[in-house]
Amino acid sequence: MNFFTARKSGESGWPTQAPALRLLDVPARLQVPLAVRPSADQIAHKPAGTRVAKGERLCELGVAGSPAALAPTSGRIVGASQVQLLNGSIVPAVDIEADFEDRPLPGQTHDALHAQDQHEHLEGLANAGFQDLAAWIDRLRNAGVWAERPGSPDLLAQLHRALRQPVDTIVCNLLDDEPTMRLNSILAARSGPTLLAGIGLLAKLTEARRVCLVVEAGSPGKWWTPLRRLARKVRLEIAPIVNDYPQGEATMLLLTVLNRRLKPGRSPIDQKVLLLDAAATISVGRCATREQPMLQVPLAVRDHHRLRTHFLVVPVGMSLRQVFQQCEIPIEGAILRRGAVLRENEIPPDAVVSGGDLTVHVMPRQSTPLPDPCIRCSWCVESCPVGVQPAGLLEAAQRTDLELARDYGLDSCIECGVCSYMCPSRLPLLAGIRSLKKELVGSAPRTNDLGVPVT
Amino acid sequence: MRTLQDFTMPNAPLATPTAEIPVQLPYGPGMASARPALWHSGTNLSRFYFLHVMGAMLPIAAGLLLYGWRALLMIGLVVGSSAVAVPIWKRIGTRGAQLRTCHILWLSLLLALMLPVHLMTTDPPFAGVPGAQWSILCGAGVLVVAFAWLLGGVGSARVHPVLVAYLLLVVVFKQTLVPHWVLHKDRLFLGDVAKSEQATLAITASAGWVKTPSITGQDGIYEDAVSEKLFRYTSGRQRPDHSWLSLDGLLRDEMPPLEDLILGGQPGPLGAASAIAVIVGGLFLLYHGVIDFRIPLLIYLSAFAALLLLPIPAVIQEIAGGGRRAHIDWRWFALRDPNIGIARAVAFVNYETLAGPLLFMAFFLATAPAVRPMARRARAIFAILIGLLAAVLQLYVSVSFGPYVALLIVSLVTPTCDKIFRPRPLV
Repeated sequence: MNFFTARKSGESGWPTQAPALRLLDVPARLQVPLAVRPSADQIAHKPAGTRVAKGERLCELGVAGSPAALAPTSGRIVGASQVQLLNGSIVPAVDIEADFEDRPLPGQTHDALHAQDQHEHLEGLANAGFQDLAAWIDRLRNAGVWAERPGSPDLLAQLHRALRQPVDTIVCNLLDDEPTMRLNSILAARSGPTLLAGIGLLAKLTEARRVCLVVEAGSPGKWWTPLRRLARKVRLEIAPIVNDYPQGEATMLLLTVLNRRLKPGRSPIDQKVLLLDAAATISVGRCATREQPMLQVPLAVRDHHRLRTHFLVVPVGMSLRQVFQQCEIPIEGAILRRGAVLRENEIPPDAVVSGGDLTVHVMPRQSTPLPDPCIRCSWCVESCPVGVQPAGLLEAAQRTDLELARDYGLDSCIECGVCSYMCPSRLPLLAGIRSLKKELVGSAPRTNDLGVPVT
Repeated sequence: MRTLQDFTMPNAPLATPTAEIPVQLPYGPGMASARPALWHSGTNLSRFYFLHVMGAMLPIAAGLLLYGWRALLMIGLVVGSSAVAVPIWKRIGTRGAQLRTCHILWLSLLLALMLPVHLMTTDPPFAGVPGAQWSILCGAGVLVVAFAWLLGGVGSARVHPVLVAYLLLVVVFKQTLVPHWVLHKDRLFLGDVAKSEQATLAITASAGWVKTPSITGQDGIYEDAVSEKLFRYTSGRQRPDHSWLSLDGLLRDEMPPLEDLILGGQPGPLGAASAIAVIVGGLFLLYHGVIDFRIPLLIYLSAFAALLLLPIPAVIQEIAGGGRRAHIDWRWFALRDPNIGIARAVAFVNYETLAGPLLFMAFFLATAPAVRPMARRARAIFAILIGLLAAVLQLYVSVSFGPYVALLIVSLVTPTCDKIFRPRPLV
């Protein structure tokens, strides 16, 4: 076995200082997504032509657990549509035309210049407790706080479950999938106080005994000095771990940091853990300390043509096409992938930015060579971080044999794509596994939220 | 009004170019020699087998030094005939589509490394053997393609096509495949291994290959292979020159110094000329992650243990008035015998493991992806079984091809191992 060669990259990819994020201008038209999935004509949004202020609710749809859709800027509602999010799901959206006035809601100010010192806010939150959790969930929901990605599973759903199930640990995931796109690290390094305010609040609300900030081992200490100083004050633990891909994924993180076995797709609350990443924690912190809603999200875009990474702050509802226009990234003949590049999640340029994945790759289109037969080299098995047998799963996919697929560990696969990356025969292992999972979902009896079978 | 002021700058500089850094993986086999891209590790099928060939380079270099330019011609002839045969077999049926040229060339190179260099001659190497032995090499190259086709091509052949081809050659040509020549130390590589006379000069235990004096006009040294001497003794076929022959006597008087087997200097198949070259070549493959360390390690350890345990003749004694009949004093677990002792028993086992192709088989054949099981636990069992069986066959059937037969037999249980031992997911 070879444990040496993979880490032989010449560069560490860490700049001496965390770069600033570029705030993008609000485009003329935005499609603000809803986190629920009814058809577009069922949305009870405000009628077309209604003028809305910045941060105003666009829709009164009351589905438990879903964040409110807020206007990222002032403007006029022009209709409803279906959009694809950066986590792959297709949801309804409310279309807004910006008036570029950026009017705030009457009586509300979000300007940080008017905010009190953050330490005072932290002290103000000191009396929060488990009894306030339900109220805080509503506050976060109304603030449009939304995170649903592999490294930070659905935040509001986790908090809802925390009402019923105890949480003993909070893990704040500051790991990034790719060395050229260290968005979580940058956010944490540049926004430490807000991050700590968010995580401190969640720790009080859930009464978690342990709070852990997971950072990448080998990252420059200078990045974490302010965060470490603050963390020491509030007695939070900073845990540096080796960030081999896909360490930032929820299942892997819980296994490595806490030695708890979380089945892929299940909520970390099953293992008594609340898991969220830097972007989600900062959203919570901002809501808690300044009552700021989540109207923008951070986004990292890697332009593989020019080998540049753009670290951006993007209004919620802005399409990737608009992002690329502002960043002057050409997308003709390119393919777009969201999240970690090895996950092979392609997205259209019309996908909109929201609480989904926070990284996008703009890559040149590659011709896919015909796969060779499997040579049984076992590299897929050896490199699989969760120990499933991808070659066996591909065989099961070819036979459509779900029983065999379960034997080979289909339920444990986190779809990281390492097997396809390693395979010398270039077999479509990840595609095979995904087809099996679709087959599995199709064959499973459908139930509602209460577990009652539905037809 | 701006939000997120603590980490945004409206006029933040545009991103500056940064080099692509491949994804960091905890396990990256073969990546040291590959150019990782975003999509793929860069190690494809050709590179996978190229790494194997690179691993075999050191045994090849040792073979070229010890057996001369004829070794190079031999490799060229076997690999060349395979290269010619591949396009033809590729066109035959659906099985033909499973053949890959890089795989076949690697297999033919392996087969060439298992053969003795004296086959690359036009004159008869022994009395009673026809000339033009090189034609066997051409046939071997074609044979390996035919067996690869028959057994299912790349990734499918649970039985190693090279083993089947080699053992067929052994059955057909028997003694012709027994190696007898090695170049003199003054004539390394440039010498002609066929330029020697039978039995004119023998390497003795006291002298060894390094101290063997050269004879004018002769490049090669003719000698019985150590593997043959060992097998004659352990199978009880050896008849003592005097009234009796003990294990101690065998090791002292009949065997060359152990360095001749470790570094090279004894007749043998091309690839197994030098044990150290085989080991270093195997370590190269281990470093690049193309083979699993468990297999060679456990094969060697289990064979070593079995060779210590299994019964061997402690003394072969002529029966007075019995003609060529002899009394053989067999001993289980010879190291416990006070007349043999630990030192001699271990020395005997060292000769056994180094004289035959056990190491070559363990590093280059038993690790073949199609032959060994997928799961780690199954691989450990697979390797132990090979080691035990190889020890038995080396002692009582043949040192030269016993390990190959062991691998052939044990590889038949690979599909069963794969069914029984499934991977255990971590979550």
